[in-house]
Amino acid sequence: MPKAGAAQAARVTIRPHRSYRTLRVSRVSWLGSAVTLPIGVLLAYAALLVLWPRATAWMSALLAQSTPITRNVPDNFLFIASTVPIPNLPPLSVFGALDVAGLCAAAILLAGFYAKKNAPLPLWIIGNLIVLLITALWAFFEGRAGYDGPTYMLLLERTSVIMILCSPIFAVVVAALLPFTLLERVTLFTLLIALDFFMSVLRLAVFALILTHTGVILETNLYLFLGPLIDVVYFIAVYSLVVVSLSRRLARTEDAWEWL
Amino acid sequence: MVVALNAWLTVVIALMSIYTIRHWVFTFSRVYGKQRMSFSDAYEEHPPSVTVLVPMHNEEKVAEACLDALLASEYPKDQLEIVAIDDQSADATNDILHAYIERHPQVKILTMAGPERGKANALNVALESVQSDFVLVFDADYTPGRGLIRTLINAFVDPEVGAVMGRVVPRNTSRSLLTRLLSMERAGGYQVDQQARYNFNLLPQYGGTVGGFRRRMLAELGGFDPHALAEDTELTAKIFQHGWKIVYDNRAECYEEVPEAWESRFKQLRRWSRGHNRVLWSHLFGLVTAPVLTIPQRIDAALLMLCYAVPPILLSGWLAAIALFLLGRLPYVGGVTLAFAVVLYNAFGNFAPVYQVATAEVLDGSTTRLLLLPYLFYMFPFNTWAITTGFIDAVGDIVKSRRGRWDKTARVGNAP
Amino acid sequence: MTPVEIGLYLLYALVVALPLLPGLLELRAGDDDDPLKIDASYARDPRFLGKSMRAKVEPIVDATHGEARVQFLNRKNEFALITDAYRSPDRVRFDDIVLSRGDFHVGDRSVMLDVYARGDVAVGAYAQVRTLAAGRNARFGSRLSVVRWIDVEGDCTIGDAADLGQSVAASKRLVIGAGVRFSRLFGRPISVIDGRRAELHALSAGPLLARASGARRLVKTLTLDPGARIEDDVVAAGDVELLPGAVIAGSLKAGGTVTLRANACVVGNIVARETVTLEADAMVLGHIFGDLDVVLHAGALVGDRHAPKTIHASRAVRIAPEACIFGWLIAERGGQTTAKDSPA
Repeated sequence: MPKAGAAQAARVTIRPHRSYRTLRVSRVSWLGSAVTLPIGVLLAYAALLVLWPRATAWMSALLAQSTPITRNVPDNFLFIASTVPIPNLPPLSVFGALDVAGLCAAAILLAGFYAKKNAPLPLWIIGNLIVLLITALWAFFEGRAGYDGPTYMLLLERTSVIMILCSPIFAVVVAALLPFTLLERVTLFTLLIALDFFMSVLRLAVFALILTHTGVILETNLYLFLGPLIDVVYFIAVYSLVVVSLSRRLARTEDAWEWL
Repeated sequence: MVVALNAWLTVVIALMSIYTIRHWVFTFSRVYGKQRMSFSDAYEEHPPSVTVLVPMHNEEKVAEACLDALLASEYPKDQLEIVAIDDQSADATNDILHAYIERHPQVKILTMAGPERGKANALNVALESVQSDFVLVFDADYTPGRGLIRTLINAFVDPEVGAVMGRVVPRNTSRSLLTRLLSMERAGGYQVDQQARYNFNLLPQYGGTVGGFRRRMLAELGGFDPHALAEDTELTAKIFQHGWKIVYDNRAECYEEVPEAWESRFKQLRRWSRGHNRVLWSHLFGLVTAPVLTIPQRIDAALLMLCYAVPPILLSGWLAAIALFLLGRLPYVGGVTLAFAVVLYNAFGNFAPVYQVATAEVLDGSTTRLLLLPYLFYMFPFNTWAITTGFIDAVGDIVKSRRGRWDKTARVGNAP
Repeated sequence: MTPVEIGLYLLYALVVALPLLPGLLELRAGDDDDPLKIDASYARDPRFLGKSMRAKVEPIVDATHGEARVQFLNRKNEFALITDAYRSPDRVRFDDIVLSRGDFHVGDRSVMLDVYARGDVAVGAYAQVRTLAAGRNARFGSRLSVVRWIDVEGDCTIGDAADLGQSVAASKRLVIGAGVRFSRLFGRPISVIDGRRAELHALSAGPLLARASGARRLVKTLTLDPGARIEDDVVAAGDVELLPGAVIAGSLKAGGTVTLRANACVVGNIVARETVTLEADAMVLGHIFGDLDVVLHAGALVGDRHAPKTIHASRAVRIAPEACIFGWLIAERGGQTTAKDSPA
């Protein structure tokens, strides 16, 4: 039989329809994925052990020098040391809470009127106003709401630590669904942990400052809506960047398409 | 009190985790697993007779494009009947249809006189005069390709198959943020979710359009509930309870028009939720105890039926979290896991989490549109609230034994 | 508020908005906002490859007279030799695509790129071809190797031990030899070496062909006695066996294997989650869809002269000599015809 020429030997380049498309992943990639999990968690933990104490101490010092926040407390959570800024919470005024509740109710009505289109942004605002209203009413009837300053900040700080440690786990689980390269995986981890780290330290300072001005009334909104939840948007954003890279790469590699 | 709140929060997080794992497994199967093919390859020179029903209510902007597309089908003309059902349109739909049949006498019109209105009722009335063995249904904003009818009909090669469902592809993606996000949700819902459920021999859903059923089977099942707001989900539940199967054909793609305005999408989602939750009430028990279903199928049935009840359950979980916070008793880890559970849920507009949407888009060959993934988070309160209001409507319907009202999704009619 | 405080607020707002920025840029640029492209003209056709090649090549052939050499479509480094007819000795190696207005004949051990001929095609043994479309009949010797596909507008005969690439389709009769490997075949009929035995058998089975009324019968497993007949569609949770001469007048769905013993018949379709086996002279007049293998023994028949059907195996297909299929045969993981003297 004659030997096949270059043209004959060329791969069949007919692209099957997307309906039938599946992706291939090499064993090396799978192994890489499996190894990434413990490495990712260990790296995140190491970063926290080394950098978290310095970053929180630096931020607390900055706040003490240039803002109304002058108090901080040390913490040690999962052997990770930190310096947590403590807001000077103004005393809770029961009638002040009632005022806030009234204002919230009025704002909800107003937003409800303008939010007839049921669009996401008005619903976000209304959702936050409802939580604020509930908090204010709770404060009015119970005389307290949420946590005192140090406990709240420790809750926030420890939640941030857990979020940073959990990020690699979720990254590995989600990244296992697509054939990412090692570079893409490293990019995902590095960006995710770096941004989450930076965001967490900044959030500690900003929330302490906000609570110094507003008191406990905003604690619920900050923690449950504008706190660690935002980290997951980060996660999705970083994930979307590497997925775009992957998709472009696959588009250039016809081998990714399997012919039925 | 604290114990009860913590327990409820745990239940909610567990439920979210179950859905998250389910969708992860689905996605994994779709990407790497062996794909179960439908019957697209069936070569048939003498296909069976088929009737295509197109229910229309105020469809003046889209009616002609849909009928044009159907008439362009390569399906043998002597085996194809097209019936446009004018369901008491208040706009020019009826005039347009009559002018249309002047030019194309092979299309038939059925004009509904009332007093009942709604898609399920219109289909029941139309089915009374249908003689074909198989019936396909397209909404009026759909534009099927030449080979689509044959592709769908091929599914009935299998005598166990009672209904078939194709893939819905939005055509007005570029119009707004909403249409682009809906396009991504659709991709996740069909390219991954439906195909994976078909791969696993679970319960792919009949979606009420770009699909069809055996006429004889529907007669056996007693037709559609004329008051159903989600006649597709109702039929899905009945099909599986009676030992029939639904085929999902990922290759049977058809353009549709997705809502371009938030208000319109809100109404659509609310109606779906209302209809779906009524089906949940009437068919959940029957499905999970159906002897013809396997254990995995029963679990899938429960999760499928509960999917429009999840947002109100999630909302109650949030309220529990707020209460625990105000009591000063929110556990550290509780806050984190709740956040993750919620966000992984957040893309459930069409019941597809972020990673499922992303995977579907990769399979579709999309690139930079994936950068919009974080905006699915933006949809979270919108979807949650729309579905919750539909859930409340359904509870009211069940308690008061009242009928739901059919809210028409507004059409724009901007075919590419 | 101190400047540091204001700076922190602004930085935080910026950082919170950061994840939405790439999406915002994409939203404004609209680089990837087109709807998914659906080919509205798409219709399933087993001869799609051949027809689409003809549609592209015919204008090129019509536009030239006599012998010519032109660049082929937009392919770099590929040229087409256009000729009235082509005939060559053995061992010829083509560097060009060949477009013939008449016949195309090459001898043994020839190596070809794409070939299009309006007339008959004859190719010797041990040949290799990338793509071939014939306007009339085609005959290939043994040990043929196809890189992509062959499409023949007439009868097509292929010798033993060939490797048929992705697809071979003929508008009329496709006869293939023993030991042939294939993925997709289309013919009216496809027969292995000689399918007359099966065709004659089908002609004598006229009374069987009345289709059932369409009622559905649910069973766990089924063994149908010799000569017995079921008029309905059958849906079985497990295995189904039709003993010699048994008939199902409707379609059959099985959660397990399906075995048709000698002379058994299914008038409708067979859909099975496991292997489908048609023993000697068994007949299926509808489609066969098997989630595992499909095995056809000598004299087995699938489809009908006037109504070609499909065999689709998610795994492999094995066909014995004297089996015959009217229509399309798809073996996702490859198929093979068996040797003359061995059973399937």
